[in-house]
Amino acid sequence: MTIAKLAWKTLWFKPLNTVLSIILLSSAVTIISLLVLLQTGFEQKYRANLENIDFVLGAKGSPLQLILSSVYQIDTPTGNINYNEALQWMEHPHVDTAIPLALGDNFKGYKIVGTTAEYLSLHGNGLKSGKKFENKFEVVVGNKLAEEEGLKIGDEFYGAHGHNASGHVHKDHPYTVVGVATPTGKIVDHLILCNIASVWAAHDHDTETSAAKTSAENHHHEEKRENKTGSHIDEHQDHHSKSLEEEIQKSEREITSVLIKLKNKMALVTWPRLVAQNTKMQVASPIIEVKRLFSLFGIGVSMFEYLVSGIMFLSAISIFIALYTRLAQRKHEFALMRISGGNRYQLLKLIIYESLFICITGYIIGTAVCRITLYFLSNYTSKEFHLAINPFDIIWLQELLLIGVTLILGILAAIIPAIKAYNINISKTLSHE
Amino acid sequence: MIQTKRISYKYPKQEELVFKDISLSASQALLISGESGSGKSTLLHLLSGILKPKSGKILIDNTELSRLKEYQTDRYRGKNIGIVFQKPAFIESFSVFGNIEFHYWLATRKKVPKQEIFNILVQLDIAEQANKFPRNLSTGQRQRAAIARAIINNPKVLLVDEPTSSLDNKNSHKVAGLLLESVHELETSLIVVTHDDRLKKHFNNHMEL
Repeated sequence: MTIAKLAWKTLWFKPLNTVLSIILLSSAVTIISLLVLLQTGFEQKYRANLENIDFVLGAKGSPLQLILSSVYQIDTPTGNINYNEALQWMEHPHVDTAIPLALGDNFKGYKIVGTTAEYLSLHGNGLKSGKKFENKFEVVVGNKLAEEEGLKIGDEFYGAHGHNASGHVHKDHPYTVVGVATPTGKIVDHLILCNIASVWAAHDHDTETSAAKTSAENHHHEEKRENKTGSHIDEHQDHHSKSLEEEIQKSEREITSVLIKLKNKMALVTWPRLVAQNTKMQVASPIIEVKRLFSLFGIGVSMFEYLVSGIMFLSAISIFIALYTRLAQRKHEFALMRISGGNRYQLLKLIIYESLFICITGYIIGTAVCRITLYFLSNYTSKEFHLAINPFDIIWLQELLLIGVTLILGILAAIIPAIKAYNINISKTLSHE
Repeated sequence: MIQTKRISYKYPKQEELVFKDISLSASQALLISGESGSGKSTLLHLLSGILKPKSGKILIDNTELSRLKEYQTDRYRGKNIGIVFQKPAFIESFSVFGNIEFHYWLATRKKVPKQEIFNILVQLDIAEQANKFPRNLSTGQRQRAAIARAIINNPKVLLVDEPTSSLDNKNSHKVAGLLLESVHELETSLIVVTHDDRLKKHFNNHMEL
């Protein structure tokens, strides 16, 4: 106990070296824990959102983009697919469940997703309160979103076009909140869900009113009207006949993508091939794309790991130098301890304690800084990527490993100085005063 | 309480040093004087068990010091021998008080009552320095702090190396008085090694190296 006290006091008596060593070590610890927590956090969240989705059926383009937009709601969609055509493949005998998605609108940046009620049970969750959406413009909101925006059952809001809140607002049809989804820690927490008809209707109506406005102002009858906002749900409206128009509309209804779960392993091989051979649509595998994404990530992460190992090593060297250079100044102290009745082992202990104290302090500060950083980062990632990382998640294995490495480093850095102190010749030290 | 019998020591490539026998009982004081290089420090190191004699015996309170193993010597020294060096070293990161406390703990593995430390510091007139760091003390104060430290755990033998070499007459007189006083009070055997002739008048027992 008393040796430990001496070690601690010595460290802070001339604190410059100590502080330097602690800074180096704690920054290494911070970066390592951040990397580990972020990486596993992201991977877990990404994997969790993949449950029950074998494939995503969507428009041709980058498969990664299709996955990111349809499964994670972060990228823009690759385009639209014809609903009727998709329907054939959704009803294919190999398919177990097929959940259509129609994207295109948002509320304050939160995506409004036209889908079926099955989307809610996709991740095995249901409703926290209220009921499922049935009619047009009824919505179920994610739990996080409800908290952040203070939405309750019965509240109404208007959707805006596109992916950001500054898009054109569809002022005609308010959405009504009829339910709040249970918290899942997944994407659903940040989404607004309604039926596909709502998304179609929002755009139909919007186009109708602006068309009426245009014709009233200009008195011209244009054959086709440009879609100003460049909607994903493209509408071609004909002015000639209302009923014909509806017919055409029905056959040209479009959706963004379909989340597919197949019945068996055989189907996993054959179904995507059939779609590729017979349609212009693409089938992307979320597992493959996410793997690809993380392998891209991985290069950056491992670069970081080398860098951090370097910093770790540097901090061990700095501890070593601090202890070693202090030896010469302190040999009288060591001799004194022996004179007072202390033995060699107590000197050994003293030096190792000093090193370990630096390491433990560095570890504690590093971990604290990591958690604080993560707390702020989590707010950001939850907004930007719909990924909330709990800053107080503890990955025990990693933490234990990190503590272990830190302590071993401390002992290694102390070995040589400690042995030097152990072997000190008291008589010589005293006669060279 | 301390006895030596024909002890000798030899440094590599040097002539062997042979020391006269010493025999002191409790409350007795001995002044050993000699020029530099006469082996004063060596004798002190031998008497405190820091060096082992080449031949001969050192008995302190009937324990043969030269027969103990190293860690036993460390323990024994802490418990029974108080040493004050010419330029006393301190643990720089502890206060004067802390140094004495720590010394007591190393020597006995026990905690010393605070009052005892204060009593000794008062006696040596450095109570006001108790909470200062050693580097902030004057030479004389360091000397006295070192004496306080050496006698805190009532050693059987007190060894003092050149206690007055850097002190003026007045302080030299004072320190000699203090040392002799504590000998009587603590019933220790005191050995002072010096080349300072001013001290001779204070001691009845002399030995020339």
